[in-house]
Amino acid sequence: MRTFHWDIFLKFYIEILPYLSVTFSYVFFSLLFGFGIGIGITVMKFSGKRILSALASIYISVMRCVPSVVLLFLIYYGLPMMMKGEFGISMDHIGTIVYVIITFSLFLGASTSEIMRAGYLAVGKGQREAGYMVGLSGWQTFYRIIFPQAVRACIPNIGNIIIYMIKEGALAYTIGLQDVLGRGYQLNSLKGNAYSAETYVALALIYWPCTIILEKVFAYIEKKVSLADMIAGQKTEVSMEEI
Amino acid sequence: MGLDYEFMWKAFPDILSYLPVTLKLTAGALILSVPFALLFAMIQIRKVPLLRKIVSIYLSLIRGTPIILQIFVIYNLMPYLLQKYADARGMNLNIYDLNGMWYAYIALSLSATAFLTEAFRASIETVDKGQFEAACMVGMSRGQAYRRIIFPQAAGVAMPVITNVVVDTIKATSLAFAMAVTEVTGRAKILGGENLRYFEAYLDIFLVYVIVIGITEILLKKLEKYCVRYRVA
Amino acid sequence: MIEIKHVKKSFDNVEILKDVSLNVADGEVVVILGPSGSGKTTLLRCVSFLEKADSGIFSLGDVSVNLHKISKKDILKLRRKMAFVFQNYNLFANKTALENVAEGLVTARKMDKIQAIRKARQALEWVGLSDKENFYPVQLSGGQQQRVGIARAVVLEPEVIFFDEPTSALDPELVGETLEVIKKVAKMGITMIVVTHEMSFAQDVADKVVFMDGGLVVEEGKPEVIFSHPKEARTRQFLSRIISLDPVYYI
Repeated sequence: MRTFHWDIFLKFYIEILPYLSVTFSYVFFSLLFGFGIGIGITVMKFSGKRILSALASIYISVMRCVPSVVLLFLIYYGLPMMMKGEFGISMDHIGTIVYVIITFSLFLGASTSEIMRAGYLAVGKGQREAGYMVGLSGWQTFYRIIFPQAVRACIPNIGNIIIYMIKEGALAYTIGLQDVLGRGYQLNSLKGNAYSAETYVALALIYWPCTIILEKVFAYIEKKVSLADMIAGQKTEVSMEEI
Repeated sequence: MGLDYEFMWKAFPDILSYLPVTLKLTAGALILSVPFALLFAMIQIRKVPLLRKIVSIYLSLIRGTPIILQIFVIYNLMPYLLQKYADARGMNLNIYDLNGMWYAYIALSLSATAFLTEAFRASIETVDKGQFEAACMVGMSRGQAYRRIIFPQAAGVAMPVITNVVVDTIKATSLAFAMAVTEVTGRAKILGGENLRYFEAYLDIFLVYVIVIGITEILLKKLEKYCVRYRVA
Repeated sequence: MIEIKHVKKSFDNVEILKDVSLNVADGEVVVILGPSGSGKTTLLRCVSFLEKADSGIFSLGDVSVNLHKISKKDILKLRRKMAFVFQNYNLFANKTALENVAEGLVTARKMDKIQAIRKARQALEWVGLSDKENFYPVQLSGGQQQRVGIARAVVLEPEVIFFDEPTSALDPELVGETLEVIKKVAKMGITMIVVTHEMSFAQDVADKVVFMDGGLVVEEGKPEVIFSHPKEARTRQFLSRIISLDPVYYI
């Protein structure tokens, strides 16, 4: 069996590693805009208006059915075409990463709205009723009672979509983005694909630890938040007595 | 915005004729992953000493790396390594004769196996221990108890996750172009390139995926209903 | 004839069974009484191999096994001579009442399916649930579920049936119907070992009452003797506490 070239591996590893910043930037912005869309979809879903909630459901189902590369290509080829055709705006100078962020914001819009819905439903009906019965208004009940509990219920899922995003974002290499995977792909190609093993091991050793760290961090946050909530709860009790 | 509707209309049946490849890839990957996932789940449940560690590392590695990287490894690296191995052992074998579809099945089954393992393990663990004990006490062997009592009950619990895995596997087949297998997405890529009508070609497959996955979900929902029929209110 | 000899069992260094021996004659109905934590249930679970005893000998008929070292094959062989009625019924959730009763016959005893169904129907009729044969466990009341559980045990025609607190999970008003069925089983002449808190049941049905406390058999004898003239102070204390309560509400 051919020997593994540790020096090449190390060289590639060091060269690819900084591209994590590209990966993290599209993860960050996709999450940011994704949450924006997600809030919109969730509001539509719970609006009580039939058409709006049906539209929201359709959006969520369609997003669930589309492979990432397909939407990525649609946006990458379709958006400039549309901008030029409809508004006469050229998108030639727009960076590839923008298409990636748009694509994944659309996906995350659907998944974050599902997470929000699940979080909202995880808070028992009794909590709202109890809120009303101690004299809180609808809005007060929402942001003082429901919201903090719903956020806590969402935390593990948020961790999961960040991990999903990091991994799925790797497909951006198909439109030529130089993120972690894209850079590795290019380095390997430049050497005539002679060092595939080294490249793939280097890539795995960048992605894998990221996921493990994120999993640990989110497990920690989850524990921390539930603890913080308990302490905050105690504090509230004390101040109530003072009043 | 100047869509070429005629091209879209003409390309659709052409693309659709590659749907069997997509479905074959999905079915192959799933068929390959179910027995392994079941085995891995049982290893975790029975806490088999060393194997359990190996399975956890496998699960973590698959969860922790992009599926496209897994495809690269299986398609670009595995045949090379296998060939070297075969040559070294003096086996007269040409690995590259192996049909490319096999690499695709294996590559796609890696993550399906990982997620199914989790689904099987979690669902089997939700079945009350008393069910197993009762099965033993009417004289069933361990295997009979699992087949007739535990698995059927776990299936109902696992169905939503199984549905997700099936959907994700269909979606993952769209990456088969990276393994030189032409399925729906691959065909659209080719047609789009030949005619410089990428957007229209992808609109076509967008529709194909929505319909295919939509139907799959409806069918699996039916199956789920059947699996939980005993939970009548 | 059942012989249980020197059974010991600890969980996490807590001795639950210190050294328990018990003989049960064929067709005998033995009721085991005792405060919770006395090891009654653990004893039943050890001799049915649901728990692995630390030591002890168990004989059923002409087969005698070491409870600590027993092969899977022997477990299967012995289990096919016994049946178990659980506190939480443990009906197979994915099977109807009829399928629950027939399951052991078809799968474990390899009985012909049509014959098994016929036998299962008879058993369900016998416990008064003919009209529920196609109901799933979730559709049945606790009392009905336990009666199916009893039918599932009886239909196997075992040499012995173990009852592990068969009425303690039931609502008070459902205890009666279940006890009636257990009494019917007793009249059939099957050997039974019953762990229960139902004193009146023990008085009416038991051939022998065994009082356990702290992982030991404290006293055993005929019910009329144990209930009216207990020899041991611990038995007296337990009985006086129980009998002063209405038995129905002591669960």
